Amino acid sequence: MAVSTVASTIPPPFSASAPSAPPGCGSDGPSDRFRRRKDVTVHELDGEALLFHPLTANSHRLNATALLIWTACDGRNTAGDIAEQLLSIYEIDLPSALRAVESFLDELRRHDLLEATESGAGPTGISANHPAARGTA
Amino acid sequence: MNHEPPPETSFYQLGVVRAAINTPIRRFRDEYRALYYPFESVAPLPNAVTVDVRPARRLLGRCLRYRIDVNGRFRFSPTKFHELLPYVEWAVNWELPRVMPEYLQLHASSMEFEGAGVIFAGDSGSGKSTLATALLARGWRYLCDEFALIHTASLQLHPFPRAICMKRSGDHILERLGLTTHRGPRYLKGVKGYVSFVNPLQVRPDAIGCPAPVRFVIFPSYSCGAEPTLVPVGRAEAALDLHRVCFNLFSCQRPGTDVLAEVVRGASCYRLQSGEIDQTCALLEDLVTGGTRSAVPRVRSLVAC
Repeated sequence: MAVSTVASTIPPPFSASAPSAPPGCGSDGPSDRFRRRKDVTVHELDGEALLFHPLTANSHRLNATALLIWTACDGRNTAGDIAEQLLSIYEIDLPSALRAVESFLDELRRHDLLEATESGAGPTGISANHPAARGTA
Repeated sequence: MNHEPPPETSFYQLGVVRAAINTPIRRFRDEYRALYYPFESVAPLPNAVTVDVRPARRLLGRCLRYRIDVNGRFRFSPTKFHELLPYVEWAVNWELPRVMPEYLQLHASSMEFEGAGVIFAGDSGSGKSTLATALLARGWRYLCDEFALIHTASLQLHPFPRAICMKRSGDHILERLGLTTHRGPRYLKGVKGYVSFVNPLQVRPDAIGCPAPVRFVIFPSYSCGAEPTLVPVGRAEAALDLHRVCFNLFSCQRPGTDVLAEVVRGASCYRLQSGEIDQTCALLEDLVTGGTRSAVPRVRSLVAC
């Protein structure tokens, strides 16, 4: 009997094997905000998560860092915002965090786990709800 | 001129699975009954998986091809008599996801030990049946060697005590455990080659386990000569691996991933590197008993076929 679905593990954003890409080289611009698909089922398990996409019938495992990024994809945050959030948790510099976040967002996009959102930030990749942006508004 | 006797139907209640074997081939009917007679039901069983086995092509009175239908659908056409039993088993398995949506069905062996359900999930060749047989001989109770049937509402593992199918490579294990196989003869099972069947009730009269909550999920892999080891695995990873071996993720009564997530939440999950069978079983017994019962007396076969 065949297994009914194909399942995959999304690579952790900070793993050595994760492909890295320079900021902004994906299909989205630096000002794009990211929103996770509403129809994806999420089960949090010991700080990690199991995602299930009902249309592609794929399941994906997120590690703790990936789950943090996934949670931050609420339609208001840009990649820059999410990278900023990671800086408060991990001892990495902003360019590294941004590369890792964008790489992971590419992965989420490739698996159709993100919804399209409208752009809403300036060319720096800092969105309107970013502390830096709020400070200059 | 057709000398074919009329088909007769026998009913079997194999744990939560009901099967009706309908065949005019008396030799096959006897063969099946010899393996499953403790589970035979005198009364017809409603909603049974009905397997029709009949000769499809004859030449000079000799059957050249058989035909196996399940619930009215054609499934297999084996050419040899000793292929029939494995194909009938396979045909019943194939039908379960359709007829039993109240169970999430995993390609895994399942056992019960003192009320705790244990799932051994892995690909073919990972040693699921061998482990099930060896643990059964050491006092564990048998649920199934090919399926973990998880009730979607209660999340309990349920028994489907089909005969344990052992590949030829498991012969020395059976010999060491002192277990006998069903009627001795070999059956031919597709790519697995020649297999034999072990009737769990011939190992011990109380061999069949009761419904039990899943307390352990084990992913075994076998390596000859390896030191048996257990490595904890995260629950998300375990759920993903169970997803890979699920037969009816989309056709069971509840969303399959919800069931899997709940199952792993209540279980401890490990990868097992299995090696020498007694050491491997002792390691598993240490795990499920918390180290309080590492030497379970081995039970030898009670009934010789």
